[in-house]
Amino acid sequence: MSAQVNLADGEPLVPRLRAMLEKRPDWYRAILARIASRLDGAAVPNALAVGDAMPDFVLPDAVDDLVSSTELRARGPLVVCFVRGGWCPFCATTLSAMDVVLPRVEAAGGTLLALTPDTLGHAAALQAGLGLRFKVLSDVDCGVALQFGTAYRVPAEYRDALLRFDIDLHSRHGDGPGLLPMPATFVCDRTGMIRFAHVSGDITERAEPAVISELVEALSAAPALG
Amino acid sequence: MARYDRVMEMNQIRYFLAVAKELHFTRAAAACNVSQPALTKAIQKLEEELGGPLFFRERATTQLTELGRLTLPPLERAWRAAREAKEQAETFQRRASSPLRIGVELSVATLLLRPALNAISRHCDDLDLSLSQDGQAEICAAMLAGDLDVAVLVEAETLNERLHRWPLFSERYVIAFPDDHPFGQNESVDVRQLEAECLLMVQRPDCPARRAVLALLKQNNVRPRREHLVGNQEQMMELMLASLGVCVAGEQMPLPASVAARPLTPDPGPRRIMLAVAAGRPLGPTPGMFVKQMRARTWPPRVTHEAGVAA
Repeated sequence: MSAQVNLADGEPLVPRLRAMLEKRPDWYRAILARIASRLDGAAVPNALAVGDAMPDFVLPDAVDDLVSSTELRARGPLVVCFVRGGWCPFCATTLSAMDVVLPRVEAAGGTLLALTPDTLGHAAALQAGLGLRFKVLSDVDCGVALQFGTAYRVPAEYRDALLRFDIDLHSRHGDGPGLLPMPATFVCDRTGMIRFAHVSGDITERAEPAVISELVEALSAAPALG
Repeated sequence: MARYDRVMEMNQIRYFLAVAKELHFTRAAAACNVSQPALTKAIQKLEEELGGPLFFRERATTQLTELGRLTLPPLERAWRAAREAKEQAETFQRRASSPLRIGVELSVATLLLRPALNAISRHCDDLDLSLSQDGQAEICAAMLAGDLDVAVLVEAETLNERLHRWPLFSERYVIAFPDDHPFGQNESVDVRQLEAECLLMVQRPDCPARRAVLALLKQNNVRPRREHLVGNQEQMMELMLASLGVCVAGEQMPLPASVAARPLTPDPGPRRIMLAVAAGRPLGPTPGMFVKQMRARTWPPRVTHEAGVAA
């Protein structure tokens, strides 16, 4: 299904996401706008930022293994991308776009991980469905997103709206606590210091993949701070 | 101090949990090391979002409202998920572990644990593991007494509400038999055909598979020719291999190579396999990672490939 989202290297992601959003019904966009304004006002300024230490985590991957952020960042820059789940076309498009720049990230010694609160095989299905060459981890109960300050409680109106599209977050999260992450991308260096952070309450506002790959290349070339 | 203690959602959750624990705003504010107005403001904001009061505030007492009571368990879990994630990462990094004591209910296949146990054992040097199989009542009692960390159970209405549980998957009951048995000639086995058979059952009356098969026989007014009672699943398979009978088992039960299985008609209905922990009790890092692994993984039937299908 990677053919479905066919992004040439360098084609900007955000305009594509905005165009996708415009095709959504008004009532749905209105809910998203209400959530975005609440999150942008209160939650985003309190999320982790450049200069903070990235919290270490260990999470299950698609092949019944556990992945440790500490081990990965010791090898080179680590990119952590929070996405809502395989049900979200904005997240799917973002992940496919990130996959395009993956070779550059890896050539610079970096690692890319995506984290979603989806459980019960949905994270694995997302990775396989998009043919992603990087790992999609299950951030069970948003335990890691909460530490990054990217998790928020899903308002009832949004939960109910998603049910109208047959998306049952409660069951996808395996009876989780009712949280979703804001779309966010963090990059840390080998010391674990966050060198780039992009968090938004607006689901179309994402870090451009080309910016991320350039940053990873720059981080690899420069000696780590402190 | 980790910066995540200043993150808004974490703070709101922390203040709410403190008030729910102390049932007193001033004491809760002291416990959180914030001013009472700041704490009250955060709680009011949370109440606005959730659409109603979380506490009854009277002069002498503070009590949780119905909404407050409903809000408490998920927020407690979220709070714990964040705290435990940190501890898990530290333990993992040292290749260390904490004791992992798992209870598996009668008739549930221990095979289900293999992928998660495999992952955990790969990443620690000296796993302290214990595994037991028992009835649901015994497992629940052991969990509540703190003698077991986590259990794999069959969903039942009688499941103790002090256990927190997550659904893993549903499976149907099938009839298993030696592969040269005539049952293999059809797509399914009619329950009335059991009248000519010897039925192998686990002795324990609280075995879910035994209860399901007895209910099915009763509903259909069927009496097997004979019943052999056995101590466990291994004995059941052994007697089946000796052509001493047939048995009803969950579909995920691993079967020896020369044993086949078919669905039953009428179908006794699916059973749901749950993962459970004692509600409100902190989980050690290794049981915590085990729970994440079990909840994250792909269970049968496999989720079909998906990519941004809607919304």
